[in-house]
Amino acid sequence: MNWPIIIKTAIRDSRKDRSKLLLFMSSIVLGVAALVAINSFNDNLVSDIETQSKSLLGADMTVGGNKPIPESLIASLDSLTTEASSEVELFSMSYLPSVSESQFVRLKGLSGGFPYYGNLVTEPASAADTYQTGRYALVDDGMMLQYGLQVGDSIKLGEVTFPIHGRLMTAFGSVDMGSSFAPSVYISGAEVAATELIQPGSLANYKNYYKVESDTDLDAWKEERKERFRNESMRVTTVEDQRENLQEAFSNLNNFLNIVALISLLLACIGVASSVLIYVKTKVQSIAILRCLGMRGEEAFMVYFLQIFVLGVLSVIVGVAIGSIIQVILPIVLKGFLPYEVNMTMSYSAMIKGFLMGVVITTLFALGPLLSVRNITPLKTLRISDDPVPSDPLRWLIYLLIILSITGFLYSLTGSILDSGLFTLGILAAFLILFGVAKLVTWGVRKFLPQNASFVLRQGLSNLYRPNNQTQTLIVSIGLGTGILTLLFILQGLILGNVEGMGAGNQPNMIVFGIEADQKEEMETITKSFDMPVIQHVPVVTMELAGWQGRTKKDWLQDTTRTASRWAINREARVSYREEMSPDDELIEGVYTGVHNGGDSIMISLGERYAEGLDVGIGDELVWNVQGAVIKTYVGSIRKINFRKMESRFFILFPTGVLEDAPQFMILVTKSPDKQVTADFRNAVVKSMPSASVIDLGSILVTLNDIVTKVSYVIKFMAGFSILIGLIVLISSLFLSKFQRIRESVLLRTLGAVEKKIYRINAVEYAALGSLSALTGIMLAVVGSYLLAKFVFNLDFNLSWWPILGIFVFIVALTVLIGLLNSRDVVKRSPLEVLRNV
Amino acid sequence: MILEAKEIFKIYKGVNKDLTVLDNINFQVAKGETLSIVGPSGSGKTTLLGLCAGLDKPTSGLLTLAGAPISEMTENEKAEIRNLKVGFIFQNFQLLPTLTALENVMIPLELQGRAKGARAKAIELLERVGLSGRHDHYPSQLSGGEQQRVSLARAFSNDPEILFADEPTGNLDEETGLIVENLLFDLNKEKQTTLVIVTHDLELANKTDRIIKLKGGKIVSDQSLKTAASI
Repeated sequence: MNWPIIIKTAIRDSRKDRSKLLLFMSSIVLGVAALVAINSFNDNLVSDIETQSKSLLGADMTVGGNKPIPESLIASLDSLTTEASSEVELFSMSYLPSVSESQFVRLKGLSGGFPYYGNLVTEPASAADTYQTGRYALVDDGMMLQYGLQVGDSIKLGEVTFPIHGRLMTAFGSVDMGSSFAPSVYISGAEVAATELIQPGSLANYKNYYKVESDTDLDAWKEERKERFRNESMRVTTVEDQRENLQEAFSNLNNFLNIVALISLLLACIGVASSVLIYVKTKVQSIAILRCLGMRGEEAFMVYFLQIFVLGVLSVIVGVAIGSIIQVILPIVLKGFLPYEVNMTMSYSAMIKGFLMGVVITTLFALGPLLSVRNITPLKTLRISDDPVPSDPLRWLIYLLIILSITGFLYSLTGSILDSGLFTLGILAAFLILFGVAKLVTWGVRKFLPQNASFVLRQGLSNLYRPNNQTQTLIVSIGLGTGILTLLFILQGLILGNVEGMGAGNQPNMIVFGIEADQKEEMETITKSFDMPVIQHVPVVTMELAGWQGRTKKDWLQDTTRTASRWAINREARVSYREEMSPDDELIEGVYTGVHNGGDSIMISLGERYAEGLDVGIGDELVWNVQGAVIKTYVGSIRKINFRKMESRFFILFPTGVLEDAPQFMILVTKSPDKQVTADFRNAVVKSMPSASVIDLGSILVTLNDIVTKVSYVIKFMAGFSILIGLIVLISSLFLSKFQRIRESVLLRTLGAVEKKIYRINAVEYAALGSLSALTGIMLAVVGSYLLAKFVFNLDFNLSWWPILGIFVFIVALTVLIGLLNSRDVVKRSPLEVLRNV
Repeated sequence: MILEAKEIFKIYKGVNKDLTVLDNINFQVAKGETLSIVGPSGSGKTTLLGLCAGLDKPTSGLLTLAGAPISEMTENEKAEIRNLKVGFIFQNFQLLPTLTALENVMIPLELQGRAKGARAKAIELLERVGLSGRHDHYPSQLSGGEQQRVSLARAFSNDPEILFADEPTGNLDEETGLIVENLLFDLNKEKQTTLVIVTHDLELANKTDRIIKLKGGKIVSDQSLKTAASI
């Protein structure tokens, strides 16, 4: 190889054409920027999890469950440390007298010096230290702003009215999205009993926080006692667990974002490949001359490889720099998701990873079309033809390397060969389908284009298969971009649509729980006074499973060969009794017994999942502890429960005639006609029954919409990269293709075609390209979202076609617009000038 | 002999029928000789030129160029022969559009690894063809005649043993064509180069030592004008 001449020729040859490759560069820049921004953000997030998990937990260890910690365990915990705090947490209605409104809240009753690490941030700051000294409440800042509350106003929780002592600025330790459903209110643990909110069947969680000496090996301590705590249904969380939980929670988010970035990079690479392909085509004549003058095929290849490689590396460097800047924006976008502020520092590993991935992928994608340079014959100096350059068999090796590098990158994200392989296959399938459609289109148009169609139509559509057409590149890039956009719209619509469907028509949309048995009549009267129907008003009895199939629960728990799941064994059973099964449930085994006659065996009905969880079948014996009384029952029937309706559903149903005298509370299901009635009804219920809670679908919907909007905001931000790159690929492809079209356009003009006609021909071509690619992308998205809805999210699949139609029109219009703007330059140029340069 | 063609066939495979473009071509060219290949369109002139210059491969037969059996050689071996021993002039000039006039002339020498003296030689050649003030101009900034003069300078820059010209004046007006023609012959005489021209222009053909007439892919006459003139 004659390197000096190769380098010299590469520099000289690129001088006049660098601007042609600017768009090619910009797509790499964006793709790499997305990758680096996300990786840097991930690195910072992970390093901050390391430093902040202790202060997020607020203690060295927590122990908790849905009942107070049993005395048997307290002794073991007391020997560990003396610094402990306790917390009772429950969801309840609150009443705000100053504004006559009620609000569902997450109530926390705290006793002790928690948090031991980090701070409970309040306004005024002193409120965090003094709220436990008396009957005070700290109320979530967002809720106070919503209702215009001031410190000093009051909030009624159950039977007690508390003065608001301060604004709660941070919802401590709430990493999960559940915290958005109900704002937090903190009171002293000593005041919880006075509210009388804890009744049999109340959904309360108990948690103790512990601070230990720094030399204590908590994980070893936990390992030794794990079984004991689990048998009592108590969960032990150490700082190490918290760190792992956080890492797991964010690795999913991060993997998702990384995959979006990878798709952006791949989309950019399609741009790279298509730009290089066209660039090589424009260089065929130069290459032929060089070959004619004695340059070897490998040397000619190297001239153009050097050009593309250097430009690629430069673009990747710019991309890395921009990505590092963008990572500063990401925490703002992701604010709602993050439990703490992430400190942004330069992540060199992310920059190196982005650089390497960018260079490798860009080079591989450029190599595909560049390989053909080796096969350009010097004969093309004598005869100019549009014959395709023969393909190089080495390209298969390049394709294999591309697939391997994508799989490798995905493996570095997911750590699973199967997942990375499946995802690569998915990407490959999408690409192949789009390529297939493109091939089909070019073949179909060539074969079936009617010869009697109008001149404009014939010319425009013929451009789809003529030499130097952009059909494949554009269908793949526009199709993929459209596909991603549509998938997001469909999924968002499906998630919201499924929830909205729950309250549609005559379906109930409001549940009142925590009604005491003697308040049944009063509750029905209140409901009817609002002209609302009592759709369901059922009793609930809480009980525990004491044993089954002749063995006690303790025996079973110690049996390592048992097939029953722990969740089913330890679950606090909320049981109802009724004569007839709900018409929405489906009996799949046995006979439903509605009435129990004294002396007979008690035949109960189990939900399918619960029966599977316990691994019991028809006729099996189950023994229950109903708040001290032991009741022996047998499985009489198994039901498939329809959970989609907002009615109370019970895994365990007793016949009537057994539980009537047991301690119980009631659940009422009704339907409110509008928001105003909902608010008035809620206020009326809270006033006369402070321990009852009203959950309305409207507020769940608002919250859910909030969450979905937040999620989709992040997704859209990331998908924005893909779409932007898709657009750049589109612009660059069209921009480069215009050089291919110059000769045709000029000749048409020379032969007498007016500007308008050429515009119309181009419009037909781009409209066909836009609509075909958008349609294919939409089809892929529909299939993809169907699979996701069915197998991942378990949603009903009902499509709303209007937004999809909107996307279709938008993409087609955009393609035509960019296409026409591009051809404007060609159309406006003088034929003489162009002919001289062709 | 600098060029020798023995039983050359060039056949293109067709869907229904094969197309024989060159049918048993045999001739020899002596060193320093000037030769024209003439014939109607489609007679196979350009195909023959491409084969002789090592730009394409015959279907069968043996071609020897400057002692090398180019019909048997690999593409890279042929590239080396072209670079060291062959010069080209094309009807449509075939200058590299991204290179200046000077760089276009330098490139064959640079490809030989003779970058040092390349610049001086290219400047001298450009002056010789009357383009001393146009070194830094790109092909698109030059007229057709000027482009062909750059092409001439490039063709002679590597001191070729043989020069192939494909309709060198075909794209030029009569006056400019004549200037280019004269330059071509003058330079050829100066450098003692063998010249093979493919042309329709009989006036141009008559200026060479010998004319080979092609028709339907066969040589129909091979006439030496030198002998005729001297008789």
